[in-house]
Amino acid sequence: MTRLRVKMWRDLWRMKWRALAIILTLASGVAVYAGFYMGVTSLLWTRDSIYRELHFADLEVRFLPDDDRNLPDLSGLEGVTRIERRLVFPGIVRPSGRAPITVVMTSLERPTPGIHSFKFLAGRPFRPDELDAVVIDASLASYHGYKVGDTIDVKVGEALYHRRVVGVAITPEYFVSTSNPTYFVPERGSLGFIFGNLEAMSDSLGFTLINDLVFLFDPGVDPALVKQRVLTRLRKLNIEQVSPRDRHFSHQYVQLQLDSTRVFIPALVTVLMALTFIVVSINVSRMIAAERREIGGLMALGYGRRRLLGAYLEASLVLGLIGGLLGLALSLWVRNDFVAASARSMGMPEFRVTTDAVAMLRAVAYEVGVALVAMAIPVLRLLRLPAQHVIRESPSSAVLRSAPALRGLGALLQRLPTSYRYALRNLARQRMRTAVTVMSIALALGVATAYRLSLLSLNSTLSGWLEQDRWNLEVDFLYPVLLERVQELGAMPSVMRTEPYLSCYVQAQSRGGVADSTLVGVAPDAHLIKVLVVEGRTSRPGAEREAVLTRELARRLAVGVGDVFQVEAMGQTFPVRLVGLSWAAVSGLSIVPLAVAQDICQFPDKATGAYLEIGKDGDDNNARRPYDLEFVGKVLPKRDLLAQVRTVLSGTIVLLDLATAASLFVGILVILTSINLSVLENERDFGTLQALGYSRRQIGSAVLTEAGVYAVGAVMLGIPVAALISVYLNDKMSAAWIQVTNAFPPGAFARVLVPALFLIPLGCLPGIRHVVSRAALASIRSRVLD
Amino acid sequence: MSLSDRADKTGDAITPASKDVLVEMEGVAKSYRTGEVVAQVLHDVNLRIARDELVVMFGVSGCGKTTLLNLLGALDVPSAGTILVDGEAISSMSEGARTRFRATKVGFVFQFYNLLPTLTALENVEAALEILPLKSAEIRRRGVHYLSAVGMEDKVAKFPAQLSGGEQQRVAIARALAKEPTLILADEPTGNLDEGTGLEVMRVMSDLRRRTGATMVVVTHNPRLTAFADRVLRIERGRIQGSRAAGDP
Repeated sequence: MTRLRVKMWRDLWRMKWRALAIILTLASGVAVYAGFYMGVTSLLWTRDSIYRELHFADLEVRFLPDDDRNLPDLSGLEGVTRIERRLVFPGIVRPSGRAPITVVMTSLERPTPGIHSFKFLAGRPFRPDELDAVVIDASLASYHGYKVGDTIDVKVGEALYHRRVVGVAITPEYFVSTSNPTYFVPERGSLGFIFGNLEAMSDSLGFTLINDLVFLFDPGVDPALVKQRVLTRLRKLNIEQVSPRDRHFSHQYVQLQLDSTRVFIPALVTVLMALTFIVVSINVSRMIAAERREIGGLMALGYGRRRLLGAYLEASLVLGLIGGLLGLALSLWVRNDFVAASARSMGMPEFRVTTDAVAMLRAVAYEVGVALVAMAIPVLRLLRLPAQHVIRESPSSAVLRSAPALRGLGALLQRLPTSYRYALRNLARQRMRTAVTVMSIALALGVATAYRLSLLSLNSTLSGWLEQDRWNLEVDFLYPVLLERVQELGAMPSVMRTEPYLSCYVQAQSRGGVADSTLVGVAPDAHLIKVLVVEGRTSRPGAEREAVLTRELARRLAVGVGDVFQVEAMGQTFPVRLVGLSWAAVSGLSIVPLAVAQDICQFPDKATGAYLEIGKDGDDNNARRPYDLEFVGKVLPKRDLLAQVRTVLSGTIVLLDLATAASLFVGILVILTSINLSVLENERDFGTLQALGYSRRQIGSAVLTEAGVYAVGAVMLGIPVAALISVYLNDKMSAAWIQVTNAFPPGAFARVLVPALFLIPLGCLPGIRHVVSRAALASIRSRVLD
Repeated sequence: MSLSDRADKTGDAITPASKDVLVEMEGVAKSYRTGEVVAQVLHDVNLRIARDELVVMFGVSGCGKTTLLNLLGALDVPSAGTILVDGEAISSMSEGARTRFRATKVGFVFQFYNLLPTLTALENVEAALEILPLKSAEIRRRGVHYLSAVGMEDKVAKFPAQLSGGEQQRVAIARALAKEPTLILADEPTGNLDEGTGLEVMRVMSDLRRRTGATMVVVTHNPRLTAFADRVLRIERGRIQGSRAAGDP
């Protein structure tokens, strides 16, 4: 080993704490980058692997219940591997002494379905001859305490079914569930899923009633093409809903959550990379400054620039690789925490973790690059000087070139005690370092605050959207009901207003493409529901059929306001003019006047649901009473929906706390390095102050003053930085999902910035300790940075 | 007119013509710019140094003696004039060539020793040899030999922090001599030592120089060191104001 290499290794050992700071900084960058990206990959893999193992349906078609003998022949469908028939109804379970639970009761042809298969957590499947046995979903068990052996009574319409729980399972269909896909919010525990024997329903009816088909496609086929074949075959049915796999709530919700997360991650990673570069640069600059004379001596001995640069880059590479390896180990912990918190917030019953070698390698490569560049810059700057300039100590700029602003503050400064005055002038003397330190910390704090602001903006947007609507209950019917019967809901106590709606599945077609859509018809003069139009206007009844589309649906069809597109339902095609674009939490909505929907869906004078406004005298019974009507399938109180939105967001806040902690940690590192560098550079000054009779407390307060100025400056600068980054993130989210309105609640700022104000100055404690523990004479005599 | 008389009159320092010349400086000037201020440190210096000569450059702080030394050692380049060392025009060399020149032809001894603190005494000497085309065994042999020559044979494994100032300077001298350079340049080698130790160090340097036949130039503001010189040059305000041979008053 060459002596130069020996020197480098021993130098690193001598400065082990500084080297450790560099390693930890690099490691944190690697841990966050690799951890978060692996977390996203893990969540996607959890979904995809479970879907694969449990045979998630490629297509589901829901239609009005019909005798299975009336179903079209589905044999020989090209591209389809498997078809299963089901009967799916919403129902209600009223456990004694507890609030009723909305459930979905699915009757299966086979105890162990080959599509949307079960993974049993307890018990077993029901046997073909067990007509009263059911398997329940894990959420009924975990949130409502049902277990194998319990009985469960399910009311569907007017019928009451007594069932016995024989198994608890998870199924990919309800991996992440919602009580109403119209509101793209998962509901954990408020919706239960029960799987029973289709034979039991057929037995009681005397014929087999079917309203749901699930399909598995052959591998490698074009799903859109196969879907068209299926729908062509089923065109005679009254189709309510068509759910290709990628439009299924479970699939789509996880994808959307992860897409949103991917908006945040690059910003966080970029800031952390920038901060690691700054912290590493400060530490390395300090190291180079301390070795200046040694480097000059080596140059005098005849060591060339390339050899010297190579030696330092080699040391930097070692630090980078150690930091990288440590970071990779930490990234697994970050990944696990992130995946666990995300899965919890999404309501996933289980999660799996995986590694992403590409993300890991990329993270290490970035950070090693940071280490090499951070080392190369100060070394090259030094090596460019003539050897004799390097040998001599660089003169410190003792002259304070006071800025006009400082001159104005001069009178104020004169009144301050010497130690404070010294600290403030010292900051002004090192303007560049002060500015870099303040900006670095502000950036770290700004990012953490911006995430909170963005999430709260999303919360207030969603809540505001829901709160703008005046309905209190949304009632879904089991089947289309005549409008005069809908008025029975209006006759219930405390119901002030009833507005019916009709929805059905349609295919929207234009020159730009074909898209599945849910057609929703509401009364043009509806008070309880507000269609939020961002471009154009709401639709009006008239000679021409008009519709408002959600923005992403319009984008998929490549149509704009004023264009005419086709709507196909029940084998018929209707031209419709696009008059407005709306944003909504769900995609694929076509909103038309009620009469137009009745016309297109071919349900004249009927409705598939209603919005109810409940008066102030209403109580919890209002949500239960509609179930007394036999056509009511499901009742959704708006307050439950709002509560779910908040629950989902509060789960995501946990992730933000991780980001906040990482940002504060890096902020403390930045101030630690900067303050300590300043302390060591000015060690002689502190020694002189001690010799003059200044107490250690007074000298320590000078250091604390510097740290305090950094913290205050960073917090103040952090406010506009956070606001700007939040606006940027909201803009990205709006492009990916829904239009987010910017919100800047003071509490979000305070949550990050107030702790920072107190925690960040702690970074100066090692510097204070050094200053007060050193003898005055040693400080006065100090010549080089140690 | 004797050469000495000529030197007194013109300020030039010219060696006796019969001696083999190692260093030739003609019309050398050096200035530095600091902001808008241009400081002329050396003015029209003409100098010849013979092989095997020990020259002491004497002058007060700021007179330009260290600058002159740095030019001789190719640590810096002159603003004007030419410098030839052992027939090589170092004043017009590229940075890489000057680095190679320093590696092979020049040994430095600094006021603050400039030892590498994380290398032992032996390793510090070997560090100067590793950049030469020498085998490991030869590097080790020279390291031990020259440390012994300066009386440090029982401290080869000590780190600089474990050595006194005088001992550190001995290691620095061994490092300078180990590469067996043509020219040894010492910048205030006793400046950081007490009087007794400084004289002792100077004695060691002088003795070794004589044994190895190297040419040595020592810069100092300590008049007592002039006693070791073959020739003393007095530098004043960037010019060589006088030159006298050893023994001359």
